[in-house]
Amino acid sequence: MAEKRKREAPAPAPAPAVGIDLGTTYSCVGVWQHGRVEIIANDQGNRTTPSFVAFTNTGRFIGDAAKNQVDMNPTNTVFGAKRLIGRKYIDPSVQSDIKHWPFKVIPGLGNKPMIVVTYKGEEKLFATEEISAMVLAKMKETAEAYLGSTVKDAVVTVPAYFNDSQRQATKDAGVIAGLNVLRIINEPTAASIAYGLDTKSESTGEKNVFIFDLGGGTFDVSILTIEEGIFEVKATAGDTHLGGEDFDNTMVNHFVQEFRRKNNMDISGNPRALWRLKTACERAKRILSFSTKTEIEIDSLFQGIDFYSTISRAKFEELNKDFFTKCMELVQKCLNDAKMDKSSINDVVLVGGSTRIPKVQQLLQDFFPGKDLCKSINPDEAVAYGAAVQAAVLSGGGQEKFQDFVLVDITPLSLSIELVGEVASVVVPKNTSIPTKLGKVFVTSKDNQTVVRFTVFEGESASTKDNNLLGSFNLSGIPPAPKGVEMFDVYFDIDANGILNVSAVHKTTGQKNHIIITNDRGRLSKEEIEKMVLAAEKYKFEEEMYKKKVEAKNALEIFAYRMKITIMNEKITAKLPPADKKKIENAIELAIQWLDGHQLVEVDEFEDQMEELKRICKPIIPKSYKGAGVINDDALPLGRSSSSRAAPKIEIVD
Amino acid sequence: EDTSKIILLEDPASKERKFEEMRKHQDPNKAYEAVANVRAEVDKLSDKVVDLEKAVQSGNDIAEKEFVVLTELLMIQLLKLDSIEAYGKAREQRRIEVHRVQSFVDKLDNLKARNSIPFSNCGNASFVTAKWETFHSGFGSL
Repeated sequence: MAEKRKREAPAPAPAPAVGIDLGTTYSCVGVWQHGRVEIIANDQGNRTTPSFVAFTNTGRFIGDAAKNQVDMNPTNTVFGAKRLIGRKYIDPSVQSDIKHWPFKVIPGLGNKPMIVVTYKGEEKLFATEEISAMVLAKMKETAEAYLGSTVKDAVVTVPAYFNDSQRQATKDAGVIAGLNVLRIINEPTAASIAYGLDTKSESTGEKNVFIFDLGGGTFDVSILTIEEGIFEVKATAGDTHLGGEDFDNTMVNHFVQEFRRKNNMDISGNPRALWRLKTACERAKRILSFSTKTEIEIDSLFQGIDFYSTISRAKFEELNKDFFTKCMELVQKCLNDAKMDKSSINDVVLVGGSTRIPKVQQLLQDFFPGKDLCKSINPDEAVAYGAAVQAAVLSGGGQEKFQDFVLVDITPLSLSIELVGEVASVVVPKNTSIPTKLGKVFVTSKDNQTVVRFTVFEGESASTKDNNLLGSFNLSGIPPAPKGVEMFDVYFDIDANGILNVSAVHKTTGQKNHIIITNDRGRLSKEEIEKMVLAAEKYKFEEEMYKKKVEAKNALEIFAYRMKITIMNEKITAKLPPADKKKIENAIELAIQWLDGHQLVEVDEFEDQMEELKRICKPIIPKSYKGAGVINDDALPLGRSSSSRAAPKIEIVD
Repeated sequence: EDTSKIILLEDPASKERKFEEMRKHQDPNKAYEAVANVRAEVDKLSDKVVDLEKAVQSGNDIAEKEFVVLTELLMIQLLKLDSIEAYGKAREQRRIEVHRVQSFVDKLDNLKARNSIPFSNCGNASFVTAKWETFHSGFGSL
């Protein structure tokens, strides 16, 4: 059966490396193929996939299927993992985020935030890396379905402001998902690559790019300097909780007031009415990006009262005026931080769905007069687009096209060693292109000091108190001597993925020690990652089993109903003895009843039922009937079962 | 050159005119059809509402999830109806269907309350999930 073959794992053929934009609310995957980037649609036909993972009694769902059932299963539907990844539970931003989430987050080992869900009736703990890994695995699968081969290599993007631990954790998520992360790159860097701003031939020398990224829930602006293909982040600014949803909410608020004025009733206490209103507002917002006015029509919104209204683009802009002003203030702040005048910006790149809003584009155009706004690439896909280009470069898939294409990433924060009195001594300055190896000489601070402690920090403050502790190690067995005599070479070695190895060598004895920045800061250990890789494989297997069950059940259901229709066809039953007809009818009814009572039993049981039914129905099975997989028959009145919304799209291939 | 592109720019005003034209000349049958599709889905769901009703009446214990899931499925149909642009008679059809869905949702609320009485006295209030609370607080702070 063709069906069986399709379900088998794809043959291990070399697939091109992919680019993945792992977003807070949505993720997107692209691949360089046939000389251009292809953004890949998922099994639901969507080019972006919600970064949602849902756990239920029957299984695990990722992406659209997870997001669609969020209202039914809020406590076990996880989203926004990107807001947690690589952070500590006590981080103020983690504390404020989890307050607003319906799912539970608790502090785990090393103060790592752990997500608590009920999965198949059991309480389970997941690290943030595991949740992100599930989203990455979904993106990997999406790419594999399109390419028809196993995807191994990927470039994954992160915000420019992510620190080392957030990058590491993202990389670990890739490993858990079964990906070889070629490189972690900054989202604004990816967007600039998408527009080819690093290779444009007309420009020589340094070039400044402003990236304006207004998404569904987050707002990021960054200034990059590109010189000979080297990207440097000059400054970043933004608001981690500003985006398209805020614009929807102001509209909802506006209409709630209008309803109150018109009908003297308050709908704000009615979740269902608000849900309908919010959905209508979201739609209206999209329409207002290319129309100057639109209608809102909701029949029987509240207590049987219809709500019909209109909203103009001007009104929408007025309602969100404060948000837009805030965006522009942050644009200015970013320029101030970079110590740049806006006139020195060469290109302005628009990223994120909300940059489709005409007002946003107009404000930016007014702010950067005479500059072309880069907006020809779908703003939801620009980051994945650039990541796909980068992936092709790194894996050599782009061949001659990228001959002169050098891509370098940078350290987002300065790296330093702590001196006496909590003073940070910078070894690797911020924005150093990586990979890099830099060294500095340190001396003892006390007389007769035999043990020296090397403590590594990241951050821009001169005092280590305000910087982020990365880790520390000791070097002992130093011969006693007056302070300042014994000398140590300290090297910071950062590989292309931003993994930091700090080593110290005592000059006279050659004693050495080093640290690879890992566990101290809640990073997963190799063993933990391995365990999670196994767990991820197990979940995937269970999911496949579930899928097979659903398929077997559907096949039986379809067959039974088909036979039910057939037996009613008098042309077919005319020659059948009445007793046989009765027997068949009984068998069909029994099968349908059995199905009602056996939603998800083992595949074998469905198959046994199927065989039995097939045997009894043999006299009436049409010759053209190819098997249970046939579904493309218009005569079948079968709808989806009530659980279809919670289940992933069920594909039965002919 | 690899980087050279031809970009066709469309005047936004003409784009909008086109959109308006399209809307005005939209086939009213499309709206009828869309409403009919929803109606067919709602018919299937209504059978399940009847089944649940029978089960509650015969005193069976029913998992709360059953009510929640069915309500959600009906709400999805309601949102589908909201997304149908309709005028005149088609709009009237849409309204009728909206009312029908709401009547099923109300029925489910009542059944759920009755079903939960023997176990707890939380009744209807338990329906509001945490999801809505978060939406609420965001909403109020605007």
